[in-house]
Amino acid sequence: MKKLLLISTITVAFLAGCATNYPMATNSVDSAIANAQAKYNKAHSEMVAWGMTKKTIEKAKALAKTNPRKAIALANEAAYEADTALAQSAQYEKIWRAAVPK
Amino acid sequence: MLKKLIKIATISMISGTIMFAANFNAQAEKDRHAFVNYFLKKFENPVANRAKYFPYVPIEELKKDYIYPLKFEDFKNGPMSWYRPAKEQFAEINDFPPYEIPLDDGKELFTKPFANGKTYSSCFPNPAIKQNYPYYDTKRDEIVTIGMAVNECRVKNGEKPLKYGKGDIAKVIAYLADKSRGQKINIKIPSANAAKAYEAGKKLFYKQRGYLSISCNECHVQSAGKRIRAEALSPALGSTTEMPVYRLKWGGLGTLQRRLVGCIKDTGSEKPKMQSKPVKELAYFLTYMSNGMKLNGPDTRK
Repeated sequence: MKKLLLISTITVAFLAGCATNYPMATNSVDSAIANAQAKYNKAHSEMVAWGMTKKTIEKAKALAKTNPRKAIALANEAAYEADTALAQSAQYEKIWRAAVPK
Repeated sequence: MLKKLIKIATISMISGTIMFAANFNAQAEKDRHAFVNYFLKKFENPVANRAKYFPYVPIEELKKDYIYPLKFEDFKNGPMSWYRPAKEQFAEINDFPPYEIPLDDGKELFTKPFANGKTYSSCFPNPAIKQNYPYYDTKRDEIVTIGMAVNECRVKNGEKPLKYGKGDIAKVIAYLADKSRGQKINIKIPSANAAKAYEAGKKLFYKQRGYLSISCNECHVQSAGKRIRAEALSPALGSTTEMPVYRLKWGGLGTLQRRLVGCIKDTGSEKPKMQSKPVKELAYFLTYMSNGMKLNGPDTRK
């Protein structure tokens, strides 16, 4: 009996989660894309953006309505790329002179 | 009294600017000498210097396939300067140079009158000018490339500018390059802003970038003289002399700008636009590094 109760509670909780998932995703897909776009813009303006970031954001935008989960994943991927490109640039800014033949 | 003060201040400012430029020229020359010496030492005796410069190249290959010692002028031939198999292939290809037809087209374009009856000669009375490009125009406060000069000539004569990188613009530049063949590269740094542009180009050359986290320097200085799979990596020294270049990979002529943009893309970076400020700065720095080397373009490369 306890087992049954536990299973049904979990099922209800899962279904409730699924039911609220879509509107949540719609809200967060916009912010995820906006976040990725802002980070990409910064990397692009400093001429350090990676080759695929812009395309990844475009893919995320295209999927925003039909597959928000995938769109968020892509936007987060693009944000990560832009962040990494900026961090890479900051890191190599300190050391590039060491490569100049003396 | 005031006039005297103004005069002194003006003279100090002018001499300060001149001194700064002169100092920067000294730094750029120091860079260039170190750059040239690196390549001369690297290719002085690859067998003896294997541990330092070619640790992963089999000793048999160094003995059999590497040409050495190399002199300053040899570097204008890219990988054909040091890699015997490439040199042999190159000699065969250049029995009938593939750039000859586009070069003839370039001559035709150069001499063909615009709609107003004038030709490119109205802008370039002496076509042997490529050794001075890219140059820093102090009045315009920007780097002027030979492609820009060609297009500005067209616009001045009421014609539409050509698309950069390949096609007709590369053909016209090929004609100018051919007329400049044998001239020594002569890039100057005439002002403080020109010095800044040189420095920006230098940074772009040495700073790692892109998702592959590599720089121009890593392939064309540190790894020059090695291979990526079967391809011999060309040295950065002398790499602008053969431009515009007929690349077998492209199946046609391409300009220095096209080559640089392609190289930047190969690092995994976003592709910059041709004739954009960073690409012009990179071209300015790279061409300065080969100052004094004779032009041999157009030429053929893989």
